[in-house]
Amino acid sequence: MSTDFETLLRTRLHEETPDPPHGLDPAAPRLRARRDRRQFVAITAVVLCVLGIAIGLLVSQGGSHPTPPAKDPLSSIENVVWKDTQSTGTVVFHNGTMRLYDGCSAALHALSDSNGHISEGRQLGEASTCSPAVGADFGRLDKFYRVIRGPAAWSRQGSVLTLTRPAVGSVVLRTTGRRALALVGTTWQLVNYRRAGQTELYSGNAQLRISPNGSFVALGSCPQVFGTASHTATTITFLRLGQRVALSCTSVTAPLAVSRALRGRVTYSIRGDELLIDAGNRGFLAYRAVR
Amino acid sequence: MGADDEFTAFVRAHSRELLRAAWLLTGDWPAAEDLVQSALAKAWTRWSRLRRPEAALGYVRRVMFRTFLGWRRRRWIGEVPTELVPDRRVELDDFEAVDARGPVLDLVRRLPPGQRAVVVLRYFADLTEAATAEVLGCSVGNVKSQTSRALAALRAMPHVDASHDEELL
Repeated sequence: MSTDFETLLRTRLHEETPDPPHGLDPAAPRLRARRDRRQFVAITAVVLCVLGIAIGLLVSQGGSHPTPPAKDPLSSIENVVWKDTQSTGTVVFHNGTMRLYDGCSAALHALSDSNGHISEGRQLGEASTCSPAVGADFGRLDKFYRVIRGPAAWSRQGSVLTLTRPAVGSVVLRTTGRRALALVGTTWQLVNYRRAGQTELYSGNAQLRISPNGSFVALGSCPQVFGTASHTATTITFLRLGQRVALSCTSVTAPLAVSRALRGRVTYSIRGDELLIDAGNRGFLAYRAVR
Repeated sequence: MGADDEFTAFVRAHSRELLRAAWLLTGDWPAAEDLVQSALAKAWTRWSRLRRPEAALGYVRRVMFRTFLGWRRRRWIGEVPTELVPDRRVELDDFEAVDARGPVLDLVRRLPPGQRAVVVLRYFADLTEAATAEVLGCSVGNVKSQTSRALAALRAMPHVDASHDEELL
């Protein structure tokens, strides 16, 4: 039921609301509808065009990716340690090289691959040897070396790599899948430092790490040194940028000698989990990988 | 009678009522005309389905009021800033426009848009609460509460007192 207030409100609204100054042209809404439709069509067209261009770009980007080069078949056997099941021989294939180590001798060779056959290429670094270990089965190692020298056909099935060289025979290698140690990205702990004519064991906690971005730092030693390092298959070139000598560094003679060794161009080799750096008359450093 | 003729007849028959309601909502004739034309333009695109005059009027009213509330929510009414003042289409000058407003209309315009829409529909368009709810797309309860608040606000406004209703209204 309406109250008096509502009734009065209704009356006054009707009375006080003025008439429009002029009537509405009946054609105007139709023109406006047409204009609105044209605007809608135009906006829709623009949106569809933008969407089409965006989708086209996405598709073209997806389609214009250069065809990836055929995958190097050797990549399936690279960067892991292959261990001979019949001897102490191990081999790591890495970036066109073949790193051999039998627990005593180590060698680095270029690797050639032709028609599914791998062959030992030229020697890249000096082969290191040690005194023959007592009980070592050199007969089996000999077969390992003769087969791997190639050309040998290879086939991988899971964790087993079989190398076959006609007239010599086959060797079966296994991998645990553990990534082979690489110079870059591994933290190396100094275990031995020697200089020509003298034996000097450095017992300090010195580590070396070369990062993928090319920087290196020799940690834990007094002084600490840091800088950049570039490397080839057999050499490292250290460019020192600076060093820090802490007040706590009491005896710096031996550490300084170590840090001096990490300067300029040195040769290196990786044997198993060891990194050997030969700095000529500045010394010889043996590091072990810190996992 | 063709669709064009029917639509023309519809506009001629209802544009005055629609324009006045729109004026109550917006407070000026250009905006009111724009609001009504928007609603009629939408109605024209659906005219083949709105042949019955009462259905067409309900549809236009629904579009008009919801468009008005949408304008207020967006705080944008499609006006395009121009460097030059456009030609005035309204024949009333500013003084006449002010003079044309009665005290009640000034009070109604002080209401929030939602309450103003309810007041216009209930007391100017003389719709029931259910019809008002249908136009605004809300519940009857919502219409009741909006109406109640609007009436309370109108009563509480300066110079409006329930004891002087007759005097002031």
